[in-house]
Order: sequence, then C-alpha cells, then structure tokens
Amino acid sequence: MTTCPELERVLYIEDEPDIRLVAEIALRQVGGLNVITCAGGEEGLSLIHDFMPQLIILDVMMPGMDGPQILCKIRDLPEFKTTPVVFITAKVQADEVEQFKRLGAANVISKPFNPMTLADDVRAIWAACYE
Amino acid sequence: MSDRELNEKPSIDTQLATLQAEYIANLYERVLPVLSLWQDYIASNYSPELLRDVYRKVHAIAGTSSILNVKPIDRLSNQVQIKIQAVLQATDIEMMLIAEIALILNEILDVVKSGDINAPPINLNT
Repeated sequence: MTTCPELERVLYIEDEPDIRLVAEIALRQVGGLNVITCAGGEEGLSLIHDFMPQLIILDVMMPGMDGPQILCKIRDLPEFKTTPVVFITAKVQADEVEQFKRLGAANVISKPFNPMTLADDVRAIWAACYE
Repeated sequence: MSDRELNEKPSIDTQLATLQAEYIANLYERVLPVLSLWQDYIASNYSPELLRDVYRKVHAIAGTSSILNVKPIDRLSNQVQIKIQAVLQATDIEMMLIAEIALILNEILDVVKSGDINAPPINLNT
C-alpha cells in the first residue's frame, strides 16, 4: 500500500460553461481544491504541464475530442501515464462504467452530480487509487 | 483569496440560484439551434450525421438542465435522447419515432417560450 498524498490540484475538462461554473463552485469553494476548468481537450492539454494536475476529470461527450480521446492523449504524455482520470457522464449504466475503466479511467461520476458532495466523491476516488 | 473577498462572495446557494436563473433566461437561445438543426435533418432526408449533431446538442441541454435542476427540460430532453438513439440504431427510417421527436422538441420550445419553468432550488443537502 502506498501512502495517499493529499489531493490538491484537479483539472476538469467540460464543454458546457454552466456545468464548469457549478463544478468550480463544488470543487473550489465547497471542496477547497485547486481546480482549473477548461472547455476542451486542446486547451486542457496545453496547460497540463504548467498546472501538473494530480487528478483529471473528463466529460465523456464533447465536440472535437471526446473524453476517451483526451484520455489517450494524456496517456501519451510520460508524466501523466498513471494520473487518475475520472469520466463524468449522464445516466451511466454499469456496463459503461466497466467499459470506461477498461479504457483506463479510475472511475466514473454520473451527472447530475451533487455540488455539495462532488469534491468528497473525487477525493474518495483519489484515495481508492492508493489502496 | 483574501478574507474580504471571501466575505463579499455570495453564498454558494445564492451563486447556484443565480446560475440556474441565468440558464433559464437563456434557454430559448439554446433551444433554437437544436430546432434549426432538426429542420436540417428533415431536409437532408434523414442524414444520420445531422441526427448525431442534434443528439449532441440535446445531450448538452439535458446535462446542464439536470445539474441545474431544470426539471421539465431535463425530462423532455432525456426523452428526445432516448428516441434519437432508437432512430440511430434502427436499420430503417422510423417515421413514428421521428414524429415523436418532433413533438417533444416542440414541447420543449413551448415550455421555454412560456417562461413557466419548474426549477426547484439546487438541492444542497442530499
């Protein structure tokens, strides 16, 4: 077992501006995390080395690069080969969760998420990565 | 962030309520492009690519409406998503499903135009 470091920096890629704002409230103000949100994969990948997120949240369905495609790009970066990636998607079925995990996701959070518990959910996934 | 900035920031439920109200106020502008794309889909003689574009736009509205607790739009846009998936998976053009999608899209437009949208406060305690 590896000691679980404190989760501080989270990158959240989501194309919907209103959901980004809710996520910022949930993760930054409620959860006390240092979070950067961005609208798409290209923007996220452009700042990933400066921000060095410990955990990355990806919306699944986005125009341009979708979540799984962004995950592939992230895994091409040597520094982020094992960084936990969490998919976030609407009304997810159990078989879809397994499919996303096979792609390399640490876990899946379903929409609608609760703004008051999102940060706790993310921290639980983070801790599970170190069990 | 300084203590002063923290003190001046509205409460979280006020921020969420503001987001919800602004989203509802702008819903008409979000729904119109979906209807326009739907017309393009019909005019194209049912291009699956255009239908996938409609799906993506409806999916975005469904996702945001669910998080912002805009119940009627959440419900209707989910119905549209399910029926579009059925059309995309069918081997033949399902005219009945297409008619049903058109009806629900019109219902979404009617709800948005009425301005009478049931949106309970975003639940912070569950």
